[in-house]
Amino acid sequence: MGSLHLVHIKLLAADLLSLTCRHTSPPSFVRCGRTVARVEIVGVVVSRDRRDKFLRFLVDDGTGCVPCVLWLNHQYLNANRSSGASVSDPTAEMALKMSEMVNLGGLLRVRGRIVLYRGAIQITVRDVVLEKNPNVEVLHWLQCVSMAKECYDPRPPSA
Amino acid sequence: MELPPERGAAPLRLTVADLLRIRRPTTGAASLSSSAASTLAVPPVRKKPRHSATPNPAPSPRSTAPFAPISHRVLLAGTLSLPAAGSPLTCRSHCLSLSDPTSAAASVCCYLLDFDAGAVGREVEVLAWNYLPSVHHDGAGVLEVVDWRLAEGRAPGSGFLKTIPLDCAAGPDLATHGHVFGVVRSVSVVFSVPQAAQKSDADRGDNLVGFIAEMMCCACCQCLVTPLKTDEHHKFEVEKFVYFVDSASRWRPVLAQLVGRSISVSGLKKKKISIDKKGSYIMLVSTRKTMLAWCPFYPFDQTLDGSPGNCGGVYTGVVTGIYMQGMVVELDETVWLLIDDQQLAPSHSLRVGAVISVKNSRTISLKFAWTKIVLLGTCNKTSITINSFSLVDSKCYIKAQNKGLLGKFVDSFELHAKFWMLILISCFKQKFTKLFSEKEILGSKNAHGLVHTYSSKVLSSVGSKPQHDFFMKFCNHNCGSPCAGSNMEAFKLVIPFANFTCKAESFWILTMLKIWNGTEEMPEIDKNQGCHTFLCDGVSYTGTTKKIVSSSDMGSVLVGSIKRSSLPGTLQLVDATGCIDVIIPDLPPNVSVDGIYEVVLMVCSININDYKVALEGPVAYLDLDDVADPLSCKAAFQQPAYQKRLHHLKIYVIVNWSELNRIGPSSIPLQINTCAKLFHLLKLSHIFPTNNTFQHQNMSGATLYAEAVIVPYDLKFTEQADSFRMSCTPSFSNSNVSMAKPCCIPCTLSFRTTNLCGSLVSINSYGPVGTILNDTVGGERDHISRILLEFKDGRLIKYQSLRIGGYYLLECPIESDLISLKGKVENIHSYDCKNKSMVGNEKSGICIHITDDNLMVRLCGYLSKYCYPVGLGPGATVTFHRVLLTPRELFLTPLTYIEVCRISFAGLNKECVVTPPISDCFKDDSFNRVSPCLLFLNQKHLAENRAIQFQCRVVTIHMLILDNSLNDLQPSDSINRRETINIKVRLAGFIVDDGSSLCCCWADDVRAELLLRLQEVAVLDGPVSLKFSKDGSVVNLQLTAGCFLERMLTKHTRIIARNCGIPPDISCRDLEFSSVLNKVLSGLEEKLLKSIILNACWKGTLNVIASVLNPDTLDEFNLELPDLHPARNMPNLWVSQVFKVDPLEEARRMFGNLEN
Repeated sequence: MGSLHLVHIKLLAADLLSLTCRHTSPPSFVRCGRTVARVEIVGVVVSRDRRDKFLRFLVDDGTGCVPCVLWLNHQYLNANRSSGASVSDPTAEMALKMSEMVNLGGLLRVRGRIVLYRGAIQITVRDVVLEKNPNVEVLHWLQCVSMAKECYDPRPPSA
Repeated sequence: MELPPERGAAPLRLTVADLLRIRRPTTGAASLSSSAASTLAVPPVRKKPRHSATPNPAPSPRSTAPFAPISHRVLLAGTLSLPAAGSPLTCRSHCLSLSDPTSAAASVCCYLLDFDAGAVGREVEVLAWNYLPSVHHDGAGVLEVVDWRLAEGRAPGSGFLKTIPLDCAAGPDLATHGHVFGVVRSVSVVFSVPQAAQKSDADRGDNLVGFIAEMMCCACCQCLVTPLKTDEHHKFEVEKFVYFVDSASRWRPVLAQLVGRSISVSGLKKKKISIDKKGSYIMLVSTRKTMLAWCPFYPFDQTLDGSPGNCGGVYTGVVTGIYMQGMVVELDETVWLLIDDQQLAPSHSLRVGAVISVKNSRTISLKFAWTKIVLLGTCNKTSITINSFSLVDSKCYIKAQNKGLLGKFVDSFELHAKFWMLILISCFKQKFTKLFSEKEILGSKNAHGLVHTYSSKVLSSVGSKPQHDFFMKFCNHNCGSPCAGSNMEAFKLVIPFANFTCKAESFWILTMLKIWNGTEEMPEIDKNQGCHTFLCDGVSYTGTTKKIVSSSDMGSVLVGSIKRSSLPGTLQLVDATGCIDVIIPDLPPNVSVDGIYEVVLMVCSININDYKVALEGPVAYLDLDDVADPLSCKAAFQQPAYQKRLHHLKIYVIVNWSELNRIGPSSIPLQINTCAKLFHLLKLSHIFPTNNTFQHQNMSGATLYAEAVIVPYDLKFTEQADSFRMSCTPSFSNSNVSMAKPCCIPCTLSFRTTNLCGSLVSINSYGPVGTILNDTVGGERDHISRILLEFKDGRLIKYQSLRIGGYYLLECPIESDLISLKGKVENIHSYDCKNKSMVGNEKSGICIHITDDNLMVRLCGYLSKYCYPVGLGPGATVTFHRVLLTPRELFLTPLTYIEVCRISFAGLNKECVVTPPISDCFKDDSFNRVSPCLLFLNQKHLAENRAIQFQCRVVTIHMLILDNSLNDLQPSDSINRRETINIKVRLAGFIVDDGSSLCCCWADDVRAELLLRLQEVAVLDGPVSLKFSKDGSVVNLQLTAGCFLERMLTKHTRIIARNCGIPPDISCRDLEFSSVLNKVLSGLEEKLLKSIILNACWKGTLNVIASVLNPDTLDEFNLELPDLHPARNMPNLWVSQVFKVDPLEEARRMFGNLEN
């Protein structure tokens, strides 16, 4: 089993929030001796705070609440680029559409990078999928348990 | 328009001229906090509105309102007046005019809430408003006044009557003593009629513009005296019609608001109105001296008659949908409003989200074959007023109607038939948009289209409504026509096939729920076993249920083109939304079934002219989901894109040949006949009984036999040969037979006037080379096969024509040691075929239990899904051709051909029977049951070149090649797929993530489309493109993404996208696009491609079956792949199948694994 830092590991909130943080620059996170950088969680939106440049929300999966931030500042990032490039770049408007899927009570599947903000773990959101079938939550719990057992927790041979 | 920011406490004053400079839908208010207009909730400065400016309970169709608020306080002032004489007819029926007091040139159409007739002619201050600029550059917009007040003072006039001024110059003093006082009951729209030539006072040749008001007047003595001074009790009992003509027609917007109120009209004159030469009417007509006054204090008369059948009802509701160019409006998601005349409603304010009142409408409860609805019927007495404006929608739905033959046909019917016709038109457009031109579907001014042809048949028994001129219709109006008594059962939904599939799935889900809840009985076989399983050799297999849904339960008609499926012997009904497998048990041989057919169902009849929908799938717990009813009228109008939800469910329709009625032009030619048939060559040796023994007897029921020897050569025709089956070939010995090649001898056969080209093919490897045919038959009898032919009833003619010693052709049956087997299918289940070498080392397959009246046999083996005929299920009578008979068992072979002869429902208990999950056996091309696993554990499987299954999400793409070639639909994919876009994904490389590892998955065609979510994206709005119209102006063109993509690929032929970013991150900046024609992609084209790629990389989980990539596969594309770490070290897989994840099923499986 190689490194896990490129894959979005499936984690429960409690496991995500209890990752070991190495104070490197930027901070890195470790689970059972392996570096992890990206995560996928599934849960219900329990808080939502929309600002001009970002959307901050909390996802509760029954084991904990994960703070997530979805950046909506792509147009500022594109400001220095040529006008033609920004005209043909749909990232900003697609991110905006994604932010509209984040509503209180909605069941979401969230992928993103694990970051440290003011000493606490949060997710910088890459994408959000609105899940309509409630069974996906159960499936995610089972996948988290199964993946931990088969993939994440066994010690790497080199460790 | 740029407005200055707020500077002080006083609101900024706006003039009408300022307003006219605004170019986008805008809202404004004089107060930004809760004010006199308590209904206002204007948003704070610099933020988007959270509420609309009116308290609107309507559901919001969009998340952001299209109306932009002015962020500071503005006060709009102007003079309110009646509409100008030159206004369009629609505006003259509904709108007043607001103009600047100083400059009347600046004026705008306006519509007021809380209308007070006393404000007409006075200066008003508008406290809250919405402004909707015209979509046309030359047209003016409309001002919707939410709240307003008079600038000063009260309206002039006596205490009892308030005059409503009409600012026109007084004409000559005519005898204008006519006077009426009464309650306005109904008002027509403004209409124009040609003036009669003999009219002396207005003989200008122009059309006469006016409207009629129906009034219930008081006939008491006081009312004959003008002006009225007291509000004494009046009895409004006498019906009078007042024709407001010419400039007086400008009162129409006021009178429309005064329906139910008392008014006084003086200065009227009794006059004869002549309409062309059709007739003349005596009525009270307005003159230049006519005065209109209303009684603000007289009680509102609410005695409108709303009983069913009468057009006196009032309905108030929220507009939840507007369809068919504004002819059909949905209110409160419950009631349907059919607008007979486009002028009835103020078109600009009739938007989704508005609250409207429909006065003088008729409520009809309609029971169609498939649904029940409540319809509000309008007539020429109906008036529609707006109670609350919509801020969530700024679209104008009502367009000018093009009255072709179809439009006139629709107009000729009563409401119920008309409403059905509109549903029909919507469905036909949805179903045949891609298959036919709009002209072919809807017809033109000269020719009938498909809709017309079809509906004429259904509506042949429905009478047209009598056509009268406007005066006759209004004054002798009678809405009590017997439409409620019409036979509505004949009005069926011509269902789009995507909706049909969705409905069938809903039936299935309900059946599953009933089974799991114990409210639906299982067949006896399952009761005995106590579970949803089937036992074979002591092993339990998961069972499958079959459900038969009668056509009467669907209430719908299937109309579509028939085409041949690539599955053998299977036909499909096709429309633009999807296709359905069809079984026609009595399909005549040699019939060419091209064209559009309607599968008729006769609900009230007991004959067999109906269809049945067969549903087969595994018994499993299924959740109800929130898919809207696909058979609802809303679904018919809204045309949502339904997706297949249950991939394990097989759906097909069984229909008799006699039920197919051709209604349209042929589109997809189909030949059932097959070419290049193989025939045995026979020489007849005996017949018995002999011909002369039965020549004069009634041979009904007798069995006739013939014995023949099979010549060791088969005859292979390269042309159509069916009509020559069993023909005598007396001229065979004279045919030009060349014996040069022993295995394939070209020959020509003469059949009366027809010559056939073919070849003789040796069927026995030991057959003598170069032997003369006659010698073969006569000389080597030991090697000759003999067959016995049995002639059943009805074949007497053929039997009589047989001659001993003659040569005959017989279509070749069964090969060598392969046999045919016919019987009734008892059950089918998946089967472990290990150690069965004859099935090609496959480790799984199916087992079919077949029975006749006495015995049951098993037939097992591997069967390609392409050979798996529709209808092969329990109860079906099936012939298996070319099955392998061994001393112990029967096996399916790759050559096996299965023919479903008949499908019986007699043995089905409660229309249910258990069969195995067949679809499970056919999940992938190799039909290996692939175990789900994690990518990082896959090395062992991949090394053995085995397929693996895993759940994954696309994180980024590696490479994408899009072509514009036709996307040929494979039957498995097309069954429930919309034929949306005409492009092909030639190759795509996706980097996928399953939570344990990354890998690069390569796919093409449908699999790539699924991973790319192309079909989901295709129906969305694409980027807006600019188009130059004929007059040189630039117009915005909004296409769907699919259409945009099609056009793009037509232009570029092939587009290649490369991602130079580092996985797993995705950024549009790293995407590079190139056209095979070296054309530069426009900004919009790049934007769409980036959107598609980003969308695919941000979507949910899919199941993938893949095996290790053969490096040669990519060679043909001659690709320069981005050489990026870490993609370089990832395993490369080739995807053979992609399908959705069933979370419940997956969770159960995973729970089982964890428990063990």
